[in-house]
Amino acid sequence: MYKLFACAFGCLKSILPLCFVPICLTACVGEKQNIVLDTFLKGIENPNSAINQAVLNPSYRYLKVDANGLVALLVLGYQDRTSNGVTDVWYSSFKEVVQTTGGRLTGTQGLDINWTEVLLQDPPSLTDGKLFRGSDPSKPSSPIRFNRVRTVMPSYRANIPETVELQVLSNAPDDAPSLLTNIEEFPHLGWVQETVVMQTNVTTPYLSPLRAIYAVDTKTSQVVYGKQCLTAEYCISWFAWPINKATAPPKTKKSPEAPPNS
Amino acid sequence: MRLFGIARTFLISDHAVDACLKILSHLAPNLVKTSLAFSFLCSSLAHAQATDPSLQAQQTISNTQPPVEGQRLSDWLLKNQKTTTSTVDEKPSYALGTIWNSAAELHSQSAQKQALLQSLSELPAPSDEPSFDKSRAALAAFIERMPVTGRVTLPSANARYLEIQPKLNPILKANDQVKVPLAPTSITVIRSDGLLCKVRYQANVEARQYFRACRPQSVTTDWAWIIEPDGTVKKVSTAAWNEAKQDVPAPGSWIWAPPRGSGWSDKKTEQFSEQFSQFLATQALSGDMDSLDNDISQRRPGTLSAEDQYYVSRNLPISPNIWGETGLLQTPSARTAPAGTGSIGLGLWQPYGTVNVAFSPLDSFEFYLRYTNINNVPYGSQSLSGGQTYKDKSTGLKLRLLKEDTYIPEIGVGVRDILGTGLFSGEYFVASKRYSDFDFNLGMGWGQLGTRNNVTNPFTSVFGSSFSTRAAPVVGSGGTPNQQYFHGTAALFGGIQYHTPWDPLVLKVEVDGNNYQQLPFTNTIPVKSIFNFGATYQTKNVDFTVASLGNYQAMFMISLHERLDLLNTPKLAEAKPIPADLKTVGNYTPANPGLQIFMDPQSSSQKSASVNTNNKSNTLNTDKAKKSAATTTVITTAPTAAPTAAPTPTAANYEQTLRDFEEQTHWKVTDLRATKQVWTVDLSDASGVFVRSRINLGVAALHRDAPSQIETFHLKFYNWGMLVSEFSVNRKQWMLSQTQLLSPSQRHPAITIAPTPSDDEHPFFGKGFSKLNSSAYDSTSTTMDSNNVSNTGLGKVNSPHTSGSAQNTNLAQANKKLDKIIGAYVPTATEILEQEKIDQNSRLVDVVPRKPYDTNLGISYTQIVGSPSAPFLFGLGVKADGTYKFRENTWVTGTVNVRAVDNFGKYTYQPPPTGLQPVRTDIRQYMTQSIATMPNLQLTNTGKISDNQFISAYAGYLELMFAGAGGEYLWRPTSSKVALGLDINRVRQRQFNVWTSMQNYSVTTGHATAYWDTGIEDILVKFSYGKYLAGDIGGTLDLSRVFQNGVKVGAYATRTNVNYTQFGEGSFDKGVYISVPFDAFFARHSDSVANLLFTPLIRDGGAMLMRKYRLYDMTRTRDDRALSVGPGD
Repeated sequence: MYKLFACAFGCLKSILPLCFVPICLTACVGEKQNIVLDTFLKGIENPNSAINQAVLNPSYRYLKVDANGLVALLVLGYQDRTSNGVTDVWYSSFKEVVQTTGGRLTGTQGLDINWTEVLLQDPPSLTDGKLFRGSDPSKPSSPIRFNRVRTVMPSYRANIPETVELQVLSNAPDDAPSLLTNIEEFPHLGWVQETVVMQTNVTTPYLSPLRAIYAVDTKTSQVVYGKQCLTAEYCISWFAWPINKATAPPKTKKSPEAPPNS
Repeated sequence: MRLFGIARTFLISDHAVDACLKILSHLAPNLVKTSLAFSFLCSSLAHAQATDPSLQAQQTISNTQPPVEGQRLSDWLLKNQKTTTSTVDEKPSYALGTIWNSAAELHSQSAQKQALLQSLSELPAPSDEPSFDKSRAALAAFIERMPVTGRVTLPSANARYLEIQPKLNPILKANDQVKVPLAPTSITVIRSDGLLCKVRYQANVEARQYFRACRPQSVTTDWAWIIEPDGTVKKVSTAAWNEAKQDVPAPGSWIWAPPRGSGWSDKKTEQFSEQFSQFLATQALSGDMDSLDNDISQRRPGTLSAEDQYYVSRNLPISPNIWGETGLLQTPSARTAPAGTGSIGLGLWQPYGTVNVAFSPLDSFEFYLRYTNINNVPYGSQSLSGGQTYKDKSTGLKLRLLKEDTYIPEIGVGVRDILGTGLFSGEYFVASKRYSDFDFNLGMGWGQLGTRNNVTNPFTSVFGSSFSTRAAPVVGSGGTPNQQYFHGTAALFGGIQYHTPWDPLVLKVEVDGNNYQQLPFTNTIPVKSIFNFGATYQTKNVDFTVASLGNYQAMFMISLHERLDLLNTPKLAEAKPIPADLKTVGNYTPANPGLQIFMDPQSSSQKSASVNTNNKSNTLNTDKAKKSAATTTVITTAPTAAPTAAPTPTAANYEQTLRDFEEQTHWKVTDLRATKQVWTVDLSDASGVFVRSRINLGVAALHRDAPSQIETFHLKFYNWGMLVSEFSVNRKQWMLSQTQLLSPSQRHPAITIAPTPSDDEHPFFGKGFSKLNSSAYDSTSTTMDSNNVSNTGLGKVNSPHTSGSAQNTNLAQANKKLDKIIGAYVPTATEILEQEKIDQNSRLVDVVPRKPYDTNLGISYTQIVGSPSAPFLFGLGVKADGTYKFRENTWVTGTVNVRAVDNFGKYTYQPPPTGLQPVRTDIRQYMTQSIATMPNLQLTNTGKISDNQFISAYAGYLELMFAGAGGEYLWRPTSSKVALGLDINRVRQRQFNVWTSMQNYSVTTGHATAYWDTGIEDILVKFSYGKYLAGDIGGTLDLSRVFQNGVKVGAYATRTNVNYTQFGEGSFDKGVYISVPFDAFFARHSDSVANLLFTPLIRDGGAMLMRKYRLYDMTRTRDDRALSVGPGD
């Protein structure tokens, strides 16, 4: 995934090389200009559009993943039973792997930054109806804590033990995707936030609250969206894709980001 | 728990512990006192005992299931999932420390161990370090006890990831051993005195904290080697002067950190440290029950403040000053940007604006090109340049003389405006020394950098009073080394850079050496202070700086920078790579025939093997998958376990093989021939930079379809009819390397460069086209589609471009041939005997006919920057290229250019005459007189007269300004670092309208050229000597650095018998250039290279004929580094 879209946007972020394009034009005709054009088109291509327009195989389950701005559509390959529970293993066509367990991120491989060997100790289920039952929008719910151990690669920050605090949110957080924030369109969404309980005031890229948020369809008990920061500067978000049509009321207007077949 | 209780008696005697504590109490009494609070034991290795290492090798992983012959590591991991996972209540298993011991590595690692011991024994003992020999003995004993394990570093131990990454997924042998250990809770530091110190692991803590816990605080180190639990070795900095972003040691790491100032930190011992670390990487994890340190109790690191404990080392930030040099604000530092860095920056301060372009061809060298605009000075008379303000061109360089070390600052020397007018010239020596977030600079400057005159020019006392004065710059006669370097007044300058805790922000303060009272054109800036201060905000590719100049005015800078040596664009616009299957090749048969690797979702044979998913279907929408591959949508499927049979080699799918080869490589296939064990593919006009990558892509198509008895692929690279290179692919080795992670001793080069014989088929005067090609081009049998002006590649025998009966005839013949030769071909005994007789000669199995012509239409763009007439001149138009091949090695090519939009009307400047024939200075007339031009139309013939000798002859309108005839000879052995060339040309100057008419001037020009790949810092040297277009005689020296990705940065200078005065402004011809291969920059493969040439002035002296075809470029694939350039496999 990263490799794929690193290229798609790599050409844009590398500003200096773009300066070569006019120089190249002086010597490029025909096929060479096609190469320039193809690369340019790849550079400006919007992956969201491609994903939104994709005709999906209904027999498969997909996950739309945004890894720090690089977007790709992944497909479910396995459901493995691990110590964390049943773990979904998702694949990109560029052979990156994202693993989720109960809606939480429990592993990645092949990205710029990866979480490996994530162990969750008795985490509360994100889809547990008790989490949302009776929650008063005007009052914050009491936080629930659980422990987690994770390894961050390739920096070899291994077996990091931490306490994670889960909090049900009364409203969609500020960084929730606009696609899900319309209450009329998604009346059954509940929002959950998880943060690492900091043991020290020191802040480094590797010591930060590493916030996660989840959107849970309380009607279907499905986690439809998640976002987890792997470091202070690198976050991954994911949608269960396509967005479940059943969550939207019949007369809602179509979301601009929704796929045509959703 | 030790399941197999061969007690490795690694016992520590009381005596050893006592001795250890004695030493520590002597070295650090406080440490020992405080350590009593912890459970600390240390081991004297010299007294430790161990059992036979060979037994340890067995026991290391004997608590796990042995692998099955031919089993993938991923399969083993999945089958042993129960033992490799655990709940958080138990001690977790540790995938990061997964061990694969390959029996194949035992022999080489045994030699590695002996070499390590030998290196240790040969280390010189410092005379002032009597304990060195004792430490050496202890380390030798430790090494002796280390078993030879055969351990191979694994890039990943995630089974689900390995499944889809066959190149990372080893295939195990029955006598291999795999183990996923339990997670250690410690890290072990190996002290130079031979003691082991096991420290409790803490997450996020850098290496320095561990060895500090094992040594007195007074003992410091500069470097440490971390051997991570997965076998990766990292050298990390550990001192304030060399601090750098680094990985931390994971549980189970070993750390080797020789103390500063000891014999173990000497430069000479660095090689030993590397060897030692590499061998440690073959060992079990530290803290593991099978490790050599398993009997040592661990200790907890001393109590650290949170800031110390979680301290994150950072790199020294570097950024350019307003002149483009790495430095502070106005002053330079001794720092240089990493090799391969290119930047372009803009600096604004009244009355100046500077555009700086900088490159670092070496880590220790920067050079700069600069345009300086002076707002309050006109360029020239109103009639010459209108209202344009003055523009000054200049170049500069900086060389690092000394690299920073513990006590030594980095020292550099630099020159500004080295060959320009000298308006802003200056020279400097500068030293930089870092301490953590601070970087201190102190230097001495001359010229503009020394006008503050606060110190006596030291050169006056050394070389005499002539150094006390400096001549004023002379506008209009730049380009000459001014011989005023380090002359005149001098001044000290310096400053401090502070890297703030907010990572992107750097603060700078400096004392300037320039007093701004002696600026060019009598400008002055009434600065109020000798200090400049400012702040730089850095992002990955852009630096912004705002600063105060002498407390008088503001300065602004912006700099864009990029590592040109790291340019590599994934080939998103290419077809998806063809996966390689592991299958029978020659006598080799995979141990596990059912072994499969992940197949591409486009494969029709793919079956979903999703486990416990909701998937009901075994198929994918392959059309969609293809579409998604072409776009950026990512759709894939689960790894498959379904075996795929090799396709039956029929004529139809064999044709597809060549199509796929062309689609993957963008090389044109002319024919494919076979012997019993070899396929030979002839490629026409094949060149390029990323040769290995493209070969790999193409061989995947050949490997997919070739019969199993084919063991070698020969790829013959013809370029313009000459057999330039031949690459031999060992199919089995290639297949193994593509389908699994091989252990180091099994990694052999699969692609090699073969020597090319002289080419009998394409001699200089012979008939060039290969057999079927010529028939395909026969007008009686083939009709070309005139509407199809673009060469579309494969036009097979059943191509729609062939007509009626001819098509049928060709098709029948070809299919017959194909069916016979590559179909289910079962030869009779007689045929076999006959075939064996003629097997020396390959059989022709397929030929790809091609059109003899190629045309291209595109946009043309021309620009001139910095002309006195206007700062920026451009022309935009349409350009048409065409080539017609009479034979493979004889062709005519031409270009017509039509300018559509331009501002060349402003191009009025005509340089003054020089006394030389205006062979280049009439460029204005050539560019402006005619809207439609024919820059090139020539007939060329090439050939090869022996194994290593190439020749060419050409005639026509050879370039924009000259027409004529000439020839070239090149001697270039395959993979040689040296080549020699010779060209001679008789040319006449063309009329300014750039069509067919000529001027009277004619000349014989030519050069003998030597090419030398020095092997030093990837530097190429090219030297030409001969007669130039204006009739002057002299030589051109060209130095360039070629990076791994093929990007080349170089500079040249020409000196001829034309003196500086006659040459005019600039004094001699010189320039710098960058070549960027399309392969590195664009999303598709291409043979092309984009060249950016900067020549400060166009003059007539030292002007070479610009020939379109040069044999050295045409034989690029013979280069010694042809297979090493590129992104790697």
